[in-house]
Amino acid sequence: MKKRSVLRSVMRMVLLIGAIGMLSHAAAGSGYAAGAKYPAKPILFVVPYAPGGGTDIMVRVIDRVGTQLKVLPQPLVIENKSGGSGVVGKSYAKTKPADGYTVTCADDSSTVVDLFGNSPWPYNDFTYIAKLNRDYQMIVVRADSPYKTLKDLVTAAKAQPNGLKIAGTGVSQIDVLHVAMFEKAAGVKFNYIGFDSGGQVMTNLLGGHVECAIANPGEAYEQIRAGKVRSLGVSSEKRLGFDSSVFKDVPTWKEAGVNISLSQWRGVAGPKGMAKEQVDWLINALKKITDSKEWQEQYLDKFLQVGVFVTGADMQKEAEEEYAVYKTIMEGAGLLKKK
Amino acid sequence: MEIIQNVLLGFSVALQPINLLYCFIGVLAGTLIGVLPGIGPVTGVAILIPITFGMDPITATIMLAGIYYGAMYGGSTTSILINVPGESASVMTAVDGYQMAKQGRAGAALGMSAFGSFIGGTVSVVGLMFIAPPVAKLALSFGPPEYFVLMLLGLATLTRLAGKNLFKGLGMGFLGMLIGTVGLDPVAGVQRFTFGRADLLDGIGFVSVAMGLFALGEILINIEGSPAERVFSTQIGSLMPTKSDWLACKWTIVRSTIIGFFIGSLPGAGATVSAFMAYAAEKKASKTPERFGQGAIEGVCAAETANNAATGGALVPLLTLGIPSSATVAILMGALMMYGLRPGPLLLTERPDFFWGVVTSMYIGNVMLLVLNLPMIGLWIKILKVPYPVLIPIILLFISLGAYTVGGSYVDLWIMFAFGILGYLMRKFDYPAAPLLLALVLGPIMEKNLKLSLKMSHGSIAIFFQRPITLILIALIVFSLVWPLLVSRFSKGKQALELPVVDE
Repeated sequence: MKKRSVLRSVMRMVLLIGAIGMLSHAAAGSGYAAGAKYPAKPILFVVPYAPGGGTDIMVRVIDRVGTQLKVLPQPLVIENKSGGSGVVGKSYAKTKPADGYTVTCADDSSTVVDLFGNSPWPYNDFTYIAKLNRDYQMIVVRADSPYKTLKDLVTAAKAQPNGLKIAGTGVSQIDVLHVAMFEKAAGVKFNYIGFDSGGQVMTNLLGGHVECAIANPGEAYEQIRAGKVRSLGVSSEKRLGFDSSVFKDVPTWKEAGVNISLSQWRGVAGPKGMAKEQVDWLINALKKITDSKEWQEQYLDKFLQVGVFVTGADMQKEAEEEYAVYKTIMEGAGLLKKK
Repeated sequence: MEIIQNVLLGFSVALQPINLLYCFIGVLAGTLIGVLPGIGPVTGVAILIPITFGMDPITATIMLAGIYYGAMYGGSTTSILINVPGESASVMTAVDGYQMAKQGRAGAALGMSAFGSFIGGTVSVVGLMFIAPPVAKLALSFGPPEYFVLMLLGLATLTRLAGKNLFKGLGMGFLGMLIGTVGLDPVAGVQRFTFGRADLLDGIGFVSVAMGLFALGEILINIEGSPAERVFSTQIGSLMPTKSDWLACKWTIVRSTIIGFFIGSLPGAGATVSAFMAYAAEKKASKTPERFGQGAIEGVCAAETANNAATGGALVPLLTLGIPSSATVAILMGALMMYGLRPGPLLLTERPDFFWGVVTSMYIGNVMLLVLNLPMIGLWIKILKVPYPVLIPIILLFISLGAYTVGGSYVDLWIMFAFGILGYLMRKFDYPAAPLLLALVLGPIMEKNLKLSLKMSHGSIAIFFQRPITLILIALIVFSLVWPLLVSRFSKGKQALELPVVDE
């Protein structure tokens, strides 16, 4: 009997202390920041692509830098679920509660997969958190190619419509759209050959099986540096500021006479319906991480990405505008499979 | 000579105690990962990448490479002992290896796997040292048309895997190709047979199918039989291959090493395809092809030698061109970039210590694996003494876990169970599983490259007859199909019209 009452009073004490603790947390929360109560446990980051890929690396650097700078109180739990161009992993993240403890990758792939009719949910069915970086596209040829400039290539392509083969990554993916946009702006038509990976695109370009390829700066950089591949132009608004021995002389498409600029992007999103405090906390944390020297060095510079920071509603608006642009392009190119 | 200097430089890096230690950790972890079904080298390397941050890039890469080729050694163990392919490249090892285990020759099979793996692995490292640049050049000359014809050559070997009844074998091959069409159309991008499920967009996973057909099918058959006729009733024989085993495998090792190294160096083909091709080549070369599938040691030796030789080959495009040739190597490349290295054509000249250090460490790692694996054979064999009623639930647990781990999805689990039932029925009615798996591996690659080739040529099949490599490969296909016909015509006279590849 006595034992039991002692136990009971101990229990009460524990409960009381717990309650006080919670009250003080709540007070601190309403006091100046929601940060004190959120995040109380590690955040799950679902990477919808395979380990070692561009998105996976981005998330791992966020985790590393965030922990180093003590922006993230606990390391992220990173879970790779790849498949269906990101659909499998994003679907998985969407099944989790929108309580701030699950986030995933936001990118233009959601838009593209939706437009090609391979997505079980609408592309914008997420809580947008932050867009972190842009990646551009380059048209590249083998170093011994007769096409010295983008103009040469365009002239040749005009002379034989559908005759020049351009390699890109994937079949129902962004490269298809970007090639279509380039074609429209330049008034040409290529024969698009879609391979499974950026590596295969490079092998087939180097092996001379295609005349040119569309590739990200990071995919082509080493080959350009080694003098195996030449870049005829980049899709950015102004020339890229990376390794100047390689990129200083690469004109933008606009400079080279093809009046269009385009890019890919990556960022962070969560399941639909996340609370504002949590989104704000995450935006704030991501801001600190992406403003750091470490982020610049370990991610942007190393993988030739251009940093941006667009958040919440602005990010959603950009995604919706982009959807409209891509939809028009696909209609024009006869690619649209959705009604 | 420059090469000797380079090799010495490599050893001076690889023999540093810290690098030796991590090489050992890598090959040990690789062996374990290979033994565990489902967790293949891809997952293994991916899991262990985060712990390599902060390490010296050379040390880290030595460890990750060790996991990669170590997994190929480990994969053979469960294939032979319990008919569970530890990873996809070990499927062909299970075909004859498990039969050998049933006949009490598990020790010989495991021993020959270890030696074959060692020789294949080591020679491919030597190949990587001396002929990497020309091999890389050859790999570049493989465009979609070449891949298509190469895969066609692979499928022509289907007839070799067919077993007793050619029609049953071909039927299974067609079924495999059909299963391979599930998912996104490789060129048009439309969904096929996915029932709108996102999990099926990338097709039906090979590992689930293989584990269902082999492991689960075998278990179902075994629990059906009477206890007296259950497996492993025979004595466990010698732990090492005998002299006659060695004589039988002499040329197998040579041929399989060459096949493994070259196929491994082609981006997109890889260790699994090379094991299939080497097995088929051996069956073709053998004077007694009917023994294949019934416990032929050459079959085990071919598959294991080739999948290890493929690991050296797979690093050729990565280290010379900066292009990954398989999923595992792609992860390795991502890791290299995170360490601040730039895998590309200039890596070899800018960081010779890295290139030669990693390559020579693979030589050392292969020796470690041999030393590690031979004594373990005695230990592994004890698994066979575990009573079947105890062993079955354990195997079931492991293969279920393995199937789930591949994609982290229950769908893979259901697929495995479904194929387990199919595997059981196939065994009952004597339909061979190997052609189905071969077609499942080759079919999608073949389809994609056929469609890309025709897109390149605007629909003209002339593209396959205008390129030197495709012509050579086509000649090989014709030869491999016609040769047995000729042989039987000359040797048996009257029976010439009989189907040539039917095994008695």
